[in-house]
Amino acid sequence: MHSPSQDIRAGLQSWRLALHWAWMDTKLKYRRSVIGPLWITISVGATILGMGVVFSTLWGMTLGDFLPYICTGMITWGLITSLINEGAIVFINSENLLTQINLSATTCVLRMVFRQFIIFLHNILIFLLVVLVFGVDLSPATPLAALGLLLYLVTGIWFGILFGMICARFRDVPQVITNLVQLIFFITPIFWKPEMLGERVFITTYNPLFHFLEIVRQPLLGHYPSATNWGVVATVTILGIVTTWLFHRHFFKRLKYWL
Amino acid sequence: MAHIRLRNVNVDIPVYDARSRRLISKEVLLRRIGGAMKVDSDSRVVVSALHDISLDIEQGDRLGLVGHNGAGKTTLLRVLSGIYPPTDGTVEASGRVTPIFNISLGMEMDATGYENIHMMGRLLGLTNDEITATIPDIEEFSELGDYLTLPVRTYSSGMLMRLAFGIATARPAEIVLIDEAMGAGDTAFQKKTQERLDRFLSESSIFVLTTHSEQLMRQFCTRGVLMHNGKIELIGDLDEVYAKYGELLA
Repeated sequence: MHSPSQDIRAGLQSWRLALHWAWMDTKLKYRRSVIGPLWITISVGATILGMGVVFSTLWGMTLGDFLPYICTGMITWGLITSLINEGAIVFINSENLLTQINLSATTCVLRMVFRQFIIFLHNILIFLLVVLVFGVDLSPATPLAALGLLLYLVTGIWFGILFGMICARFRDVPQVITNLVQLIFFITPIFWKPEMLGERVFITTYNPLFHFLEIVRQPLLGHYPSATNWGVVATVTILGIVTTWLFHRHFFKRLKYWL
Repeated sequence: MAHIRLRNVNVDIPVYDARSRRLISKEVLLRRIGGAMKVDSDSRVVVSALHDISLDIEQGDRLGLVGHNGAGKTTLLRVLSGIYPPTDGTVEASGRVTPIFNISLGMEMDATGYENIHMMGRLLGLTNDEITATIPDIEEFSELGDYLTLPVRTYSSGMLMRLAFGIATARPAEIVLIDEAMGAGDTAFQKKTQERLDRFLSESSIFVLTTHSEQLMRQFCTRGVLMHNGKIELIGDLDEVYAKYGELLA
């Protein structure tokens, strides 16, 4: 597999292998535990409940108003950040496979992306529970969340290919990314609301991750994301795909030697 | 017809270790073992793992790579398999290549024997039906019985190797590349394993093998390639190759 485009094509065609692999990864991680992957749900659920109680009190809101907001925010943010953090180290983690068997590098990216989505599906259970207990005004906008998730899938793939390669070459970049993501968590409205910023609302406007967050969170809450949200996400997606394509075409040959 | 053709292939492996520059200043540029180290046009330190390799491997070839540690045998296998794209030169291959470098790679210790057969089978590019079809053969060869329903972490290393080897050789392959004892340890020398390897290799159209065992080499290969410091020293029959190899070592 010498040509960059062959690698991507072979990788995308191997989606069944990647999905099976991602499912095995998730299953095996919890093999000897009694409730298995439901631990993911429980641990995220506990965090949401804890933060929900504290911040709804701080902001003077009722739990019923605040919990659906922080719940959708946290599980969506969890998916975004794991795609970013894991995408950065996707090739570093697959070094043995990539240098010893004839495996498409893109397959490794798909495996990682699918794994994050499987975890997200476990967390969706928390949202369903919140819907049942507190009631969320689901609306015709809600199915749009699926479109948002589809865009996450696309973004996860190009981001993993692009940053997976950059991070394989420059081993400090994954650390930089992890730290940045942690910082951005606090300046992204997850446990607080954008309007609380008053005139400093620009902090969210210029944060692309906020717009990515909104295209899934707002539909889940029964609202339509804004045109700005869609616009930013579409722009980032197109720019990302083009950059990845150019970078991959030029540097793919070197990837194996960076590992 | 299956073939692999290499033309003027170079492989330079860049060294990104922060201390690499200091290493160079200590004048270990040329060593008897391993490829030559040099500084490339971007003033990076690179190890010249393969230098100007041209090699034609044709249908029916049973080729053995001979050379001391670091001569470039493994790198050459990785180029032949398509895992390493060469820095310069061209590789042209026709036929499906199956590299067998580390047979237990991809095995999940917490998964059962059967789950591993499925996973490894998929990695080898088999469909679900093809995997199902290979299971009786793997069961028979590995002699693991009910152990196949247990996580492989409960296996002894010999049992693990029998399973991995059974999976890797379950289906005939067109072009087979084998590195050393493929991580199979002592099991590679057992009679049953040898017979299976024999059958597997005889069904292939081409195979390339590296091993330090002259006995294995003579058993399986008809032609040898002597590698030295990343270059091909000699291509010829095994007697010539081993005679020349002896001179190099002296």
